[in-house]
Amino acid sequence: MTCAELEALAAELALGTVSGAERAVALDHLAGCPACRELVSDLAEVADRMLLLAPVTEPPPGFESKVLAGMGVAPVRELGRPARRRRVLAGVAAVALVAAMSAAGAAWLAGEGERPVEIRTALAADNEGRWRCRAVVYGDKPTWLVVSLDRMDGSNNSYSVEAVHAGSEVPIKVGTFTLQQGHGTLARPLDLPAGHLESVRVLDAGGRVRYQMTFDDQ
Amino acid sequence: MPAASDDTLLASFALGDPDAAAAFIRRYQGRVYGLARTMVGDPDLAEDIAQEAFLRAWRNAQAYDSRRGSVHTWMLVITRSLAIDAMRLRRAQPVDPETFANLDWRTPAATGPEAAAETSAGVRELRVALEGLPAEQRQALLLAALCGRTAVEISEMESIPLGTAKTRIRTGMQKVRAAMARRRTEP
Repeated sequence: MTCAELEALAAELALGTVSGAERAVALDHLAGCPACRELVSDLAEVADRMLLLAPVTEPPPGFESKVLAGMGVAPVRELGRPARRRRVLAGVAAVALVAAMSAAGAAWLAGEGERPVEIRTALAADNEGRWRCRAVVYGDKPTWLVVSLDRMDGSNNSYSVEAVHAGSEVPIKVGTFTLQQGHGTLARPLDLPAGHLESVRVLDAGGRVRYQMTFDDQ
Repeated sequence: MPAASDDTLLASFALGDPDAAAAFIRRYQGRVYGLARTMVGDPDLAEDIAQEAFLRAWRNAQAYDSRRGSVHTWMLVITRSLAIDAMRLRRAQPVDPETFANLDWRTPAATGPEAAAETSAGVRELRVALEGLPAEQRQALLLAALCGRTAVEISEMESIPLGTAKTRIRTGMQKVRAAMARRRTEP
């Protein structure tokens, strides 16, 4: 694809209405052409802003409960009972997550009378929004590693996860997971402290590293 | 008590705090469902898309980058992507003429967070720029941007050659972009 051909398609790319082979060819061109990337990015700003022109329509009753159920969160129905501890936790965690949202970070969550639990996060994301891979490690004895991968193409591929320990050349094989319609999560205990983890990598079925998240908070 | 900022609310939502999650959903559900309904027409499918948009936002909250737009816009970009995917799977249905005719893009949201989101995103400038377009370019651009229609679908709906549909979308978008850039640089 030439720059002129890309330019002719740029508006539709920004609007998200190009799909299939045409989109793949265009993205391949964009990967190597900063000028065309800037053009599409400028147009995407207009296209995204246009979404605010859609009418505001309240969904049917029960919508909120359905979303909360999908999150595995029960709606809060109790009135008059103080929920101070949970609110303190949520407040501290929210501030920590704001900091973590820039790319990677570490946070300490603590309730009253509890010793702190370290949470470290690392993210790898495609600039075009086609995929995001996130690693979260927290706790000790056991330390838990949670890796989630979201691909917008809805694929059902399988992946294996390896953890790289600081100061060690040999990665730890953590486990495998399979995407369902583009989404998949792996959660496994690790036999090492959260603070010792250097990076996490996700490999495809052929053993090739496809995503790598580095904990660069230390 | 002042309302939490969008960024803080998103962070609490991402952690699954029930109060924050409920507040987050209430803040954005009107726009998310409104866009999904505009794009796919079918109320049940629109509700499914809106639910999935919130779940995707919850799973991917750490990918949100405030430098690239507001939380409102981010939620709507997720919704658009899901709606377009859903339409491709179902083979797109024609846009209901009544829905499109009633698409009142000229009227700002009156009050509340929606109005604030529009002000901060310069939507008033966008409306002025759209008003300045020839009607056929505006129609093609709105069909693509708010109804998720491809150039092929617009050419069939409007009974015009594919090249003409593509030109209308492209030219309309470029004019809006240029008009908004001019307004930004005006004293």
